Amino acid sequence: MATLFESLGGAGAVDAAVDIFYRKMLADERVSHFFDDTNMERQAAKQKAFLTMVFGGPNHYTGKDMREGHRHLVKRGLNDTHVDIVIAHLGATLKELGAAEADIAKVATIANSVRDDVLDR
Amino acid sequence: MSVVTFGESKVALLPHETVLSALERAGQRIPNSCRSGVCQSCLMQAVTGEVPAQSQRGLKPAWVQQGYFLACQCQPAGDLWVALPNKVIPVFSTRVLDKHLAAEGVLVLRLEVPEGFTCRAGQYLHLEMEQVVRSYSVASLPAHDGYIELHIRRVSGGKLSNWLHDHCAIGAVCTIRGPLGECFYLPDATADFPLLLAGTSTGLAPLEGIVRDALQQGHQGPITLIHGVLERNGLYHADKLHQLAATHPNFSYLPAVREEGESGDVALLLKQHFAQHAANATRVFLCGAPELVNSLKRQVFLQGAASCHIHADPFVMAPAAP
Repeated sequence: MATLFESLGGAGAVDAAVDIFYRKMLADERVSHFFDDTNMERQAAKQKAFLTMVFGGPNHYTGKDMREGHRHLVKRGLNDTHVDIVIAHLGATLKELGAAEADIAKVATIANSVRDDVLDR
Repeated sequence: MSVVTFGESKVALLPHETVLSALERAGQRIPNSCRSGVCQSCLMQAVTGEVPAQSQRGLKPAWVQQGYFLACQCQPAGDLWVALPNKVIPVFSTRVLDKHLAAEGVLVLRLEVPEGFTCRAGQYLHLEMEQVVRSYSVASLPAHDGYIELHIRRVSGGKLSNWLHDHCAIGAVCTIRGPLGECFYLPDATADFPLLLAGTSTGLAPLEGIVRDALQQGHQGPITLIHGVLERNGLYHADKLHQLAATHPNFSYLPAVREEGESGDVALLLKQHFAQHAANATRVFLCGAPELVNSLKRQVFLQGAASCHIHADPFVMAPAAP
């Protein structure tokens, strides 16, 4: 049976998703301020690594990375609502790319599994 | 058996071993994460030798052209000399051929093309004179024009810019390091995609070079160059660019003078461009004041330009002398 990553389309799916996803985040005023002073290239690379992970692809993410990477944003008010928005944009991105509902649900589950690490609790 | 050279170390690859694994085995620390060719953390550059296509999958065309590759995907057939990105900067000695003012406060400096120096219009180099090093973009097509042209804006209190404007003599010797940067024209499978270039002040330098390069390479798609300045007397090379537009129907030159209202609003002109041309096919080049460049970059991305097609070169100023 194909893995989730394979069924989504592998590395090609990450390449296709990164712009769509990041554009949705930047265009959404509820979350765009978290990206105000970040370098776009560096952000895109991070989004790629994040998408690879939630698509079930190869990754070396650790809970520690997640905590350290988002601690400064938690200080600026990052909370559950924002994580929900990210997961919604993730779903919408995959839908646009024609992913199956079941796969979208699996991606949401993976994203949810790092929620506590991201919010540092 | 292929041998990989990295700095002082030389490693012979084991069968099926990647460059990343071999360098790690030799005790080198190379940034990496997914080890599957996705995250691009292990980006390296081949100084000499051929890298397999598999190791360049997903990289921007400008990176492929400069020999960048992913170390975790690279099993070369022959020997390779590799480096971390942007650690390989050739050094040349050259001299000043000519200097003249193009506008108030904008000096055009022409340098001799040193033996072995090749560069694409739009790349930049470090210029070292009077024990000061500053970075400038290349405005000319050195191989075609026979000189390296730099545009030097006089910066208040700027050590090198003022010296170049006021004291530098024709024939003066200088050191250049480069070329660097990935802001240059690359034809695709087709040459009919739209090109959109916007720059402020001497941010015109690389853009002017890229336009000429694209036209020389027979680019067929629409090319739009927007030059943003504060006041009309800040425009330079306008005659040359109007002339180029007159002889090339696919090239439009739009001078944008800030104090003249809407026609001088670079952000608005970019928006109008996307009303006429497909954003996702457009290659965008932005150059000049960092704040504006960064906000325009975000704007064009939100308006639909693909991130891999946005090339930006913010001119970061050296801190003012104490």
